[in-house]
Amino acid sequence: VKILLLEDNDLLNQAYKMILEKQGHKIEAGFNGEEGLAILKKFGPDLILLDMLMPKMSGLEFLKAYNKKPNDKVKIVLLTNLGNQREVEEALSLGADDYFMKAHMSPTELIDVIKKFEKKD
Amino acid sequence: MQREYELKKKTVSLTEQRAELIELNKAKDEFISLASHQLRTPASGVKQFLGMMLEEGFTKSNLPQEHRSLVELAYESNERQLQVIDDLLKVARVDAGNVVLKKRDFDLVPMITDILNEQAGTYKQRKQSVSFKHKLPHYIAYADKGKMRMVLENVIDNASKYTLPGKQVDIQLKKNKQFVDVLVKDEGVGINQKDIDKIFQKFSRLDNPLSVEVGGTGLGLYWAKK
Repeated sequence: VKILLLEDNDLLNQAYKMILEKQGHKIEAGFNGEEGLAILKKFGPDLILLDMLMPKMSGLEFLKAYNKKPNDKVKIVLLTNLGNQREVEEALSLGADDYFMKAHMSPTELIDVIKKFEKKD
Repeated sequence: MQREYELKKKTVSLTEQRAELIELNKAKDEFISLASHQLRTPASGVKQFLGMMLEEGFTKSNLPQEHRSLVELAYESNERQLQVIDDLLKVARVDAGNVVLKKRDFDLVPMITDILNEQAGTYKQRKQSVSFKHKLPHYIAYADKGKMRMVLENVIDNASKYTLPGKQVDIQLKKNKQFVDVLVKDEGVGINQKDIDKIFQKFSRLDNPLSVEVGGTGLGLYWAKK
């Protein structure tokens, strides 16, 4: 699976990349929404892992700029934290497909998230 | 005249103090929220790297048992830290009145069944059994579904945490005129009559044979009741 990973924390970005690359997925990583938009055009991902709180351009701003169309096959999975329920609901209405609590997700659970969307395709 | 003047002066002073306290309280909530985020992100990173060491398929060789048990302790410790951060944030939100309840009708039966499935691993690990009894197939409640789930998860997990291995937890749904009662009964360490009110107080932890082992922040039931 081609995955665009957008996470502003350097260590988490590195961790998620390592975990997913071990599974044979192809990863392009960015640290904010702006970088995400730039990578998006060249890379053409199947799935976007999107952190909500990022500098320069947040997850929500990225979704607004991306403007996902109903026939778009790219899956968008939010990486969020407890207490951001309002933002999550707004993001889901902007075309995000699912969301996961970062602090509760282990490496195997992250892999399962990707598998879940792989099966649907 | 003198008394009127003094009364006015005191009213002004109280109004100023009130504004100041509201401001301070807001600053406190913002601080907790910011601090929680700043603490949680690195702890989430630790979880991923330790998780890779413990779970299969991330490293070429498996950890020697001697190291594995140390890494498991570090993982557990980090999990507890993440839990404390979540609890602090939840409590700060509820105290600040930032929790908006979205009430609607939903069925408690599938919700509790789902929670029990989710916690089945924990119950098994603690060698405890759990029963769920409901005479009717559906029990409809009017409440915030998401928050209610979190409250029930908390209370059901609490019942297990303070129960010794080999014992039982019973959950039952009952309907009375206006409400649905969710009864959670454990065979746990028990609570002294005089301490019953304390279990719902903030940062309250009662001394009992399992309190040290269980850990906990003393915030879970406070939040659930709020």
